[in-house]
Amino acid sequence: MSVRPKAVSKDAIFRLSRIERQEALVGVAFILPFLILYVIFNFLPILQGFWISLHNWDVIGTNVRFVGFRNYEILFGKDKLFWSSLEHTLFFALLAGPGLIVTGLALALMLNQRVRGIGIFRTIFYMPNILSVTVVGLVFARVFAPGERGFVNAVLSSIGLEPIPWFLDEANAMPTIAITKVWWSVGFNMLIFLAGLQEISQSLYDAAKVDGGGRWTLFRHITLPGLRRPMLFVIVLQLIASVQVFPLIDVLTGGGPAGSTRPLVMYLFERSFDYWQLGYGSAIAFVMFVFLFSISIIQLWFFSRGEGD
Amino acid sequence: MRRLILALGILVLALSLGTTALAQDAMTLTVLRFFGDCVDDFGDVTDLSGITSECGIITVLTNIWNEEHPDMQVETIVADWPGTTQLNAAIAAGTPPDIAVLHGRRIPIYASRGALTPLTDVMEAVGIDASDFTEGAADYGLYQGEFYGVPFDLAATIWHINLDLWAEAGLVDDMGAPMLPTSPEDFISAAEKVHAATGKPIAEMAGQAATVRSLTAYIYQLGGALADDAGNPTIDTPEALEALNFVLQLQDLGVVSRPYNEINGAIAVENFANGESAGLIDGTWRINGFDRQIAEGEVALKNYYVADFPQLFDNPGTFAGSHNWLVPLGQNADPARVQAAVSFIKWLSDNSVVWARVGHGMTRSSVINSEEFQNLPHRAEYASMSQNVRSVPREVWGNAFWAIVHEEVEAAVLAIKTPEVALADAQARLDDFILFQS
Repeated sequence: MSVRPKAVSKDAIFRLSRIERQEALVGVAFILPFLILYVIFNFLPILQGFWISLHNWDVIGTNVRFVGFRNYEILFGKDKLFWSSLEHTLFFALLAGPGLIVTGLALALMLNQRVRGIGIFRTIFYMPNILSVTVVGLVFARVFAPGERGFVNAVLSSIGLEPIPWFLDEANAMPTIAITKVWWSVGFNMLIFLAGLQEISQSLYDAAKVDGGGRWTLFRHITLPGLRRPMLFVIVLQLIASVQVFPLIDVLTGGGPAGSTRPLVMYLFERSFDYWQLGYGSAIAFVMFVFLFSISIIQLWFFSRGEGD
Repeated sequence: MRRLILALGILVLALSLGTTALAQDAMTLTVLRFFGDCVDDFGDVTDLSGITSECGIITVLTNIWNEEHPDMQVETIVADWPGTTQLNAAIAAGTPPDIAVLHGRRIPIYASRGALTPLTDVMEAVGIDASDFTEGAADYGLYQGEFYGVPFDLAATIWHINLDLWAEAGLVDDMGAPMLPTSPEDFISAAEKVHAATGKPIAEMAGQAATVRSLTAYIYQLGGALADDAGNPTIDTPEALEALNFVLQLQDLGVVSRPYNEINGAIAVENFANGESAGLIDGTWRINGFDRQIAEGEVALKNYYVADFPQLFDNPGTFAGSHNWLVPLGQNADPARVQAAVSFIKWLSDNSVVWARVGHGMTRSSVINSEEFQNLPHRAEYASMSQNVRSVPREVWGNAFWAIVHEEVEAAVLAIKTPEVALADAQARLDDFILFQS
């Protein structure tokens, strides 16, 4: 039986007792250091980024000229590379996101066992996550190298199949990057799901089994609802990480072949730092921010519907 | 006790005043450079014998300067290649280093924004003879007729050759030198002979960058240019199309390997060292590395030859970059500080023959003609390089040009676009860039 918290009217907040007010002040004092740092290092830069996006602004701070919303007009009006980069980014998110969530959940379910030595397997599956992007990039560039130089192609050749140009073909490049990303990052999701699984009371499963529930029924009606919060956390985090993807692609393909894997952040970087168009780059960054913020809010709303019922 | 305290007080005061006076006399110059960090290996070394790596040489040169100039110490800040991120951040923050190293093609955009200190007069004042720079090399430091950088070297595209594999193909003359092709037909014929005799390509491309460098060299050799008379970028030209078609023809015939991305470019370098290809199109910066690997018996490559980038069309023309020393203190810098910075740069330039051990070309005629330079390994083999090099036009779009052409040429190489479409798209993007800047 769930207990709903009593509704508190707005007036009640202002009718706090002296002790309650003191407790509230202590609470504020605790979060104040974070709040100050957050405002200085996150909130103000976002505002400053927006201000820069309204200018022509060299990356070294010279040639500053107010242009209003001209950068946004170009961005939405005639910049084909912006749209293609957005398309590549969403394609990557679509490929890597479900892979990371489904594989992470599957691994967590497999490793949520009370058997001897399970910790070793948990460690093994988590380990790729601690590698740096450069290490992962260099290793997988060789794993998927073209011709028979690559490990995967050497295996394919040994069983009589033609080598595949993994990173050199427009159709293959992004899925290959997504596979690399899943191998690299799935351990983190696995860990979150594992923690979530261990929070679900065993008595729920026992009761359901007594009622004749099968494995799928248990998973569908106990495990999945029990993982609602970890799931929300993982999905929001994965979406943000996918939209912000850059270093892995930079190391593996440099955005190629012929720009076909260039994500939005790489485009932002090119415009800002290679072309010195920091104002334009900031406009791209601000559009990304609004996009991610909106999607995250929608996700939060979607997953929090019905909570507490 | 009082006297003791008083005496100690006077001593402390005297020491601190003395230290302050010393600190005022000594000047510390900050140098922002790439070339890596090897303080662990060379931090205390002041003997240049046997050192051939970029990082080792520049670190030891700095150590020697600091030892010889206690009144003008140099403090190194190591940046990641190509050094622009740290330099841009330092300039934007108003704390630029006194000296920085950059590729010459990047100078125009910094100079056009007033971020660099004009150096022509100071160079003359400290004794750098601008007329000593070879014609091709001087361009790299100039912007609108003014020196903003002191060209230190020429990092050019060259042809690394495995003589044993060329000999198998019957392409080595009586003097033991490779019989280098002098026309497109010659090149294809030589490549076919190498492939027939060894089953290996006559040249591998060290990454997509090597393809673009080759393309620009062929454009120059065909009499083309990368900028029009007004200084705007031009890539959609008949010469560029002919050059691109030639590059693609070589790859379609299978006589030159298709380039891979930059990581797989590293594989091409390994392949050459391991005797898997008869040649490698890459830069001067590889020479000392191959020599070292051969000397240590690490690789299958034994008889190594360094040839100029082949001249296959009417005009000489080789792509080269150039590391330039510059003073990013802006237009109104303290003259004394600028003079001190350029004094250090002059000292580096005077000692640049040591830098040539890496394999790079030199920028000063006096160095090129010196006995020490002439005696360096392979020098006679690619002697024409310094005369043949052509810089990317001295315009603010140099960097964007490189990035855009790189991507569009890759599209043609991978048959994603036809050569005509790739060049037209590159031109359209460059035109957009110019329009945006205006």
